Amino acid sequence: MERIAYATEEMARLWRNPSVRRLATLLFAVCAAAVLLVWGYIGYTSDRLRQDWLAQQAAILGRLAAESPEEAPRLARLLAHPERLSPEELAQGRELAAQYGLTEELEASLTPIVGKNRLRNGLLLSGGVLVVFGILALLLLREYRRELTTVRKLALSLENAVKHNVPMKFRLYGEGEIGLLANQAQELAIRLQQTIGQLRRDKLFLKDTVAEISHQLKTPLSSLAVYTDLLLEGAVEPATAREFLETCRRQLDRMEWLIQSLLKIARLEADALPLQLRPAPLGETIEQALDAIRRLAEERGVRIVLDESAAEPVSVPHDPRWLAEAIANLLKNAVEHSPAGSGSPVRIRLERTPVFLRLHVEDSGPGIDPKHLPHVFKKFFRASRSGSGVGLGLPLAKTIAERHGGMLTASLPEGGGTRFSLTLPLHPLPSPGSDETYESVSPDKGEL
Amino acid sequence: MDVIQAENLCKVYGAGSTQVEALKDVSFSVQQGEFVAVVGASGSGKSTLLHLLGGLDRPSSGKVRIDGEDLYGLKEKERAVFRRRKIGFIFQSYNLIPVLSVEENIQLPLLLDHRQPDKAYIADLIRTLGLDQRRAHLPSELSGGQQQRVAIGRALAYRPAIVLADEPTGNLDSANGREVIELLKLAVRQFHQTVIVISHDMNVAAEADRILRMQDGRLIEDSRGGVRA
Repeated sequence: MERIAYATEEMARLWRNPSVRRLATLLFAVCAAAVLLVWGYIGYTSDRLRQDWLAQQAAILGRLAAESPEEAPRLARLLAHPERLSPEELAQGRELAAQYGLTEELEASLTPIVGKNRLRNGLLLSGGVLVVFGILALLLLREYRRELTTVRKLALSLENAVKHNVPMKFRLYGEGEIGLLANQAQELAIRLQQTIGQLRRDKLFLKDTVAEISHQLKTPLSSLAVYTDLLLEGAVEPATAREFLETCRRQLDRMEWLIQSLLKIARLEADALPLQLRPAPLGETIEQALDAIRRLAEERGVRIVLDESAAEPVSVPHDPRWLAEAIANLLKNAVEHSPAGSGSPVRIRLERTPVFLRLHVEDSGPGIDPKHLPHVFKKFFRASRSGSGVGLGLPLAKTIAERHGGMLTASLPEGGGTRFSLTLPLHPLPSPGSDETYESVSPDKGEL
Repeated sequence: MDVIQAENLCKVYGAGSTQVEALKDVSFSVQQGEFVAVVGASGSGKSTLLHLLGGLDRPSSGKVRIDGEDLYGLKEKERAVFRRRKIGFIFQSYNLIPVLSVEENIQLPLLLDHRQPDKAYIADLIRTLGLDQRRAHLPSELSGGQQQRVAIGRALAYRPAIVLADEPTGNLDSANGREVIELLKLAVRQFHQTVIVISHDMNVAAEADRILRMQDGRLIEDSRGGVRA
């Protein structure tokens, strides 16, 4: 059963190829032409045979009429109505004919009509067969060449694309195997171009980032140098010296935070640190994040409120350590942008949809200026000076969210404040390039 | 790299006194990986534009290039193959095949191209779309949001370079609509796709990297960096 199904499938697959269709049409046309030719030939030769036979009979009649006129009409009647002859008459006739040597052993070449016919038959048939096969061979070669030309064009175009990084000039959008091959080759060329473009962009981005990092490090470094020089000179009051040292300490903290954040982002972006995505209770991860931020919140007198939606136990595939880092960064940002000492809390809210789990962190601060909204996730971007950060917390959180197959967005809810929404898929989208997908593909038949 | 280029697109319907100019000289290009929203009042030419970009209609004049290929320079048959392999469509009314199950509907573009669906990928996709429990159901047994997710699955099955969505959230409540848009955004990133969404919902437009505003068949504004109110 299965083999038959497979065979029909194979036939159908073959039939989708334009070249196979052309070939089939060609063969059909040649066959039809050959059949027509055979019929035409048979019509022609039997007509010739009939004429020759009639001529011979007429000649015999003529001779008979001259030698014995009374016998001729009888013979003519017999010739005109052969159906009236009986089998006994046939046997008698054969006996008589045998006496004159007209037996079945008689050589064809000695029988005048047949002999002529045989030569003509031989010449016509061999000529015809040669012509038909010649034409067929020519047409087949043409078809073959056509297919090979397509492959050759494809190969040249692909070579060009690979060598000179240009889009493929030769394109083919067709059914069948060659069409699929051409399609994959085009995809490959496009992918190559995209990758090269991405590499160029990455290089530029890296250049900018390095410039930005050195700028960010140079400022605290130079102030550290100034303060230590002053302290070394010793001409500073003890109270002022303490103040200087505290400033140095703050700058050092800032640099440490900066360097650590940058390292984390770099590790994540460079894929040097694969996340361990596995279903885990989100509540515990939120607790981890809260622990990290609790002291800062107390210092600033900001309450963090877990909405009752966050109390329900939910599980989502994530890497608890990294996601806690992301949530902590969101909380830190929210706490820093909340009015200090006010009663207005930072809220954590969970929302579950059939596809996503969303974690909202909402503050009741003044809200981000709408014109800054598209930029809040850019590295080193700071909408205001109120935060202690260097503009890396939110980019880091966003990178972490994306590595989870999710996203991080900022919005301005109607009631004021700012809302950051961390959206995680309950089942991450299959990633096209990962080993995981590769493995799951290979057990298949590997067909296109 | 420009994935989509529209050059002086014009579309005129009818002739003589009943002639309507649906599109007037629209030109723009879209970069690979962009999420573009086309907004405008109904009758402003948004849908006509999307149909022309997707090769579903023919422009009166002008060109559409996709990956550098002149879409209307191709023969009808070639264009059909091109469309099937390069472009995924999502419609307001879902346009699922009523007699096919969720799984079959999602695999349809692959089956139409006579390819063996990658079962593991399709299964993953169905799980991501939250349709795991519904894979054998018929579209009529699903809610609107679920049906639109099936349509997204169908548009992603082939991982086409371009996804064109015509009012994908038009028949959905805001929660389902948001989910649809977020799924599309994730797909753009994951599969390096380019998405063009038509919508008159400003919340949808705000999610886009770029907004094209249409009015009376003209492109009147092209802005980057959405801001959500």
